This record gives sequence, structure tokens and C-alpha cells, in this order.
Amino acid sequence: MHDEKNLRLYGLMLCMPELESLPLLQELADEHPWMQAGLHELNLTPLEEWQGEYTRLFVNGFPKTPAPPYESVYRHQSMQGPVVDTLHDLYQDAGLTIGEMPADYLGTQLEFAAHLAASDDPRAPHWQTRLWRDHLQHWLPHFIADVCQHSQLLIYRLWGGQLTLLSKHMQEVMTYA
Amino acid sequence: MDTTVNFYTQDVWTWWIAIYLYFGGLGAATLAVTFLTDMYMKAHRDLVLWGAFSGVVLLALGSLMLFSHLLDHRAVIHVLNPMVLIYKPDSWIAWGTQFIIWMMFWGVLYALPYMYATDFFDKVPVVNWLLDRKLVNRIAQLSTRYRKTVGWLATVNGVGVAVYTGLLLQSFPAVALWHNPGVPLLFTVSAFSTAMAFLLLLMYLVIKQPDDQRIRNFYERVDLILISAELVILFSFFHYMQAGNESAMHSARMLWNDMGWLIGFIGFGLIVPFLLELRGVLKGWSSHLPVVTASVLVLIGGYLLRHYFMYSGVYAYPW
Amino acid sequence: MTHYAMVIDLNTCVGCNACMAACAMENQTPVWKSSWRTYVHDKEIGNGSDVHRRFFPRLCNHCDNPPCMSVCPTGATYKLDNGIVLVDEERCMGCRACAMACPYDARRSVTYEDVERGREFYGEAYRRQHPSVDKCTFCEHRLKEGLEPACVETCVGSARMFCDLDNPEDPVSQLVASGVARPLMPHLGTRPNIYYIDDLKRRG
Repeated sequence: MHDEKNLRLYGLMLCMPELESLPLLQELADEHPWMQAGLHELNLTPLEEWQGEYTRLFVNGFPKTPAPPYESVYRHQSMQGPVVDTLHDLYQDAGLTIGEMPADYLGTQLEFAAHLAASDDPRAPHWQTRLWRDHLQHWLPHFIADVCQHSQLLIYRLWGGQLTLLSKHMQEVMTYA
Repeated sequence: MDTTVNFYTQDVWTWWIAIYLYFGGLGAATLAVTFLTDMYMKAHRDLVLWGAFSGVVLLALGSLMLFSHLLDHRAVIHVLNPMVLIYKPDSWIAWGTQFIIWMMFWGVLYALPYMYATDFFDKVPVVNWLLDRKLVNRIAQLSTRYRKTVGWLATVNGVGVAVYTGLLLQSFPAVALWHNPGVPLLFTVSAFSTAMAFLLLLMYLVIKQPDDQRIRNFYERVDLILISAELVILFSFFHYMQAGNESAMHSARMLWNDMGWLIGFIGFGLIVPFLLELRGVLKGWSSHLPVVTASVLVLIGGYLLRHYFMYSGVYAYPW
Repeated sequence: MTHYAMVIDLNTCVGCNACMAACAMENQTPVWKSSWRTYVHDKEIGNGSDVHRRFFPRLCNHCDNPPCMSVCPTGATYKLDNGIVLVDEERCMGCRACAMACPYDARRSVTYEDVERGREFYGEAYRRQHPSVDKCTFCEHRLKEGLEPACVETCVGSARMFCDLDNPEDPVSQLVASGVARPLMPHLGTRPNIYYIDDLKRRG
């Protein structure tokens, strides 16, 4: 559930759909059966429609974008909020710097979680706890709710379901840590 | 915010408008000069008829360029109504439209009595019919009786047309090349200079009356003065732009590195005609070819000025 | 008296262009020719590895001394008491003097072809009847119903904030009053009403 492969796949779901996207996901479907019903629907959906739905949900919706995948938006109603700095510090502590996407982007946070899951560093669980306790738990549930409520494509609702299971699991891990 | 500035020219008012600005200045100034000549130098039927005709035709052609350029032609009615000057006195296009309309109106009225004084219009259909109407006859008599009034009404509106084009360009605050008091001066001087050149061509090549030598000499002298004035104004512009703000300096770089502007306009449009006419005024030429050449060059230069002005205006945006 | 203004925080605009799209849909602009009432400019600032992208939303500034209004020959461009500068599309003949006069590149042409295409694209709901010059209206039709302009409502990062400068209690108008948010090219004398909070992204 919280292993590297799953976390990277959850992050991958946040990429803009392209021509190669569906074949790639179909290859992964055997190991991740939760996707199958969603992929079946995508098979019947034109790429443009998928891209349009992705854009509407996460980038640029009218009248409002339903699920912008940024912690600052959910916690501070702005972009580049104060959490960006604390996340930068966390990534730096773990010896990482971020690329183009902002620090509070869900994709960045999931990538970080995946990196920690695969890491041998004894401090990794501590950083994982910081990520969940100080950041993800405060906004991911709301984000998931928005995705599940507004997404017209099954794949994103299923993805939301997986993220819910992930959240619940992390909640338990932190409680007993 | 001010750390970045981007510079753009515009593609909204291009050569369509440049042609109008040129025809507008040329036609209106021609009409004004011929009427003033007729009123104060020598009564001259052919000059007035040509002046009025050129004024009306050039302004009609220019106005057609403007009209075609509109997005919604139907709405032009809102600017044709003279009352527009009451509720939009701050718009130079409103003034210009009225100047054009009334210049044409009074211009035709001033020329009307002269139209009876020549056989030419007897052969022109529709016009000959109109001239036969009692009402038109009566109007021509009134025009003769109030000659000076009609002449001045036409002249004032004509000068208005020649001057307003520069004031219009001056009213755009974002572009340093346009937003300065030199532009109305430059455009007015250029309009009258091209008018003198046009009239010299007419008098040497078409009207060709030997007793007009006094008028031709006078026009040459006036054109010489006007070209000199234009060179002085442009000299001032040069320095204004070199030491100007970013918009001015960008315009300067575009203009003063362009051979069309330097050689075409300044060189052949102003300096060469100036020298030709200077020699003509001081020593005289044995033929009228140099003056005719100078006049043609001035006319070409008149268009180039307005062309370059429209294309070299630079907007400086802080993004 | 109401005096509408907008504050744009250049620190939080991430160039998602949601505002451009929302405006286009709300105001039925000719998207097929990439003609926008509001546009988000994208500029890289800095040298070498120390480069950052600045996104700069630009729209009509609804100036208090609008040069577009003085040059308009038909009176099609006019200003409401609440500060909004509007274009009467029936009265506008499209001479484009306003576009020439505007220092903020706020005006776009809508042609006969665009009106026809608009009828196809936007269907029966299409409101425009005539070609004219077009620009931002601060969504005046939405303000009348107590809504905010479409671009403000849709902004994900709250980069756009709308306010009434005559309401001193409004925290957004306090941003203007404090001088944190500043207008563009104020020396031109246009007295604009879009105020920008300068971007000071910390790098490294």
C-alpha cells in the first residue's frame, strides 16, 4: 500500500494524459487491479476528452477549478503559501531539491513519499511522519473528496479511493508510531 | 514590476491610415492655399477649380480608406452628426470628421460660381444637369455675393483638416514619438509643403499660364520655407528621441537606422528638394524640370513621413 | 460612492491561465483567434541558473483618466460612476483610436466574422450583436448580481482580488492604501485601477 511502486503510480496519475499514457497504465494494470474498471472506460474515451477532464479538474476549470493539487490552495487559499517553505526545509533535510513543480504540489509530495519508501536511510520513517503529520493529513482528504465529487471519469474516482486507503493507512501508522 | 519592459510596435493603424493622413493633409492644404490665393493674390478660376476638386477627391479617397478600416461601418453615423462636437469635444477624430465635411461643403460652394465660368462642366453628365437647376444657380449667386465668407469658411475647415491629423496622433500618451507637440507642427508643415509641391506640379504641367509666374515663384518660396521648417522640426525630433525615454529611444533606433527614412525621406524627400528649390529661388533654373522634380520628391516624402510615423511608434509594456 | 479596483499578487500567480479561460467563457470572447480580454504574460527573469518565471496577468485598468475615452469619437467608450470603463458596442464604429491610445494593450477588435462565428460557437446565449472594439468590463453584469468578476472567482491561488477602494474596511483596498500594491506606469497620468503586489520570490 505504501510501497514505492504504488506511491509512484499515484503520482503518475497527476500527469497530463498523452498518447502513451493509456498503454503505460494498461501495462501496470495487472499489478494494480484497482485501475482496471477505470482503464476500461478510458479505452472508450477520446484522448482529448480525457485531457479536457484532467485540465478541468486540476488546472483550469470554469467557474472554479474543482481540485487544484496544491497544499497552499487548500490550507491558505493561495498559491506559494507558507507551507512551501516548510516543505523545502523537509526536502532539504532529506538531501533533496525539487524540480520545476512547486514543493506543495501533490505530485512532488507523492514522489518524496515514494523516495522515502525505497530509502535505506534510518531517518526515512521520521521524514515520512513529518510529511504526513505536518502536511498531507491536513489537505489530502479534502482534495480526495473534491476529486471524487467532481470527476466525471471513473479512473480519477478510483484513484481518489486509493488515496483514501493510503491516508487511512498512514493515519494508523502515525497513531501507533 | 518595473524590472522588465517589453517593446512593441502596433499593427492596428498601418498604411491604410498613413494614406489617409497623407491625402488628408495634402488635399485640405491644397484647397486652403488655392482659395487664399484666389481671394488675396489673384482671382484664378482654374486654380480654384483644381484646388477644390483635388481637396474633395483626395479627402473622399482618404475618407474611404478610413471608412473601410472601420469594424462597424453602420455606426459611422454617430460621428457624422455635428452635435458630436458638443458631447465629445475632446476627440480629434470627431473634430476631423466635421472639418472634412464642412471643408468639402464650403469648398464646393466657393468653387461653384467658377464652374459656371468654364465650358468644361457642360460636357460632364449629372454635373451639367445640376448646374442647370435654378436652385443651384441661386446658390452660386449667393456664393459669389458672400465670396470671402464662403472662402474663409472653407479655408478654416481645410486648415483644420491639415492640423488635426497631428493633434490626433499627439493624443496617444503611450508612444513618445507621437505624444509631443512637435507632431502637430510637423504634420501641418508637411501638409502645406506637399500642397505647395502639388500646386507647383499643376501650374507647371497642367494649368501652364505664363501670367502665373508670380504665383509660381511665391509658391516656390513658401515651399522652400516650409521644407526648411520641416528640417528644423525633424532636427528637434532627432534630439528629443535620442535623449528620450525608452519608447523614444526605441523609435529612434528604428527610424534613424532605416535607409528608407534617412535616404528616402530625409534625403530625397527633403534635402534634395530643398537644394533644388533653393537654387531655383536664388539663381533660377533655365527649365522648370528641377522644380517639377523637387515637387515630385516632396510629394513622395509626404507619404513616407506618415508611413514611418505609424510604423515606428513604440509601446513600452512593463511585463 | 463605489470605486472598483483589482489587486493582483504577482507572488501567487502560477500561470495556470484559468482566469483567461473563465473570462473567455463568461464574456464570450473570440477564443478561436486567441483574442483575450485578460492575458497572463510569461517572462523569465534572471540570468543563468538563477532564473525564475514571472506570470503577469494584464487587463483593462479602468483608469480614472482614461485616454481611450477622450479619443473616442462617437462616445462609445464611457465610464460609470463606480469607475468601470465600458464600450457601447452599438455606438462603437471600430476606428481603433482607443486601442492606439491605451498604454496597457487592453483592447481587441471583434469583426463581422467574429460575430458570426460567435453565434455558432456560443449558440443562442451569444449576447453580442455588432462588431466593435472589446475589452474587460470587470464583469459588470456579474457585479450587478453581487458576484465577483469571473477571473477573480476562478483564480486558484487568490492572485486576483477585487475591492471597492471607497470602503476603508475592505482588507484588499487596505493593500492599496498601504502602498504594498502599486499601479502600472502611474507617471503617464492615466490613474489606473489595477494594483500589483510586486513579486519578490526568494530563490535559493
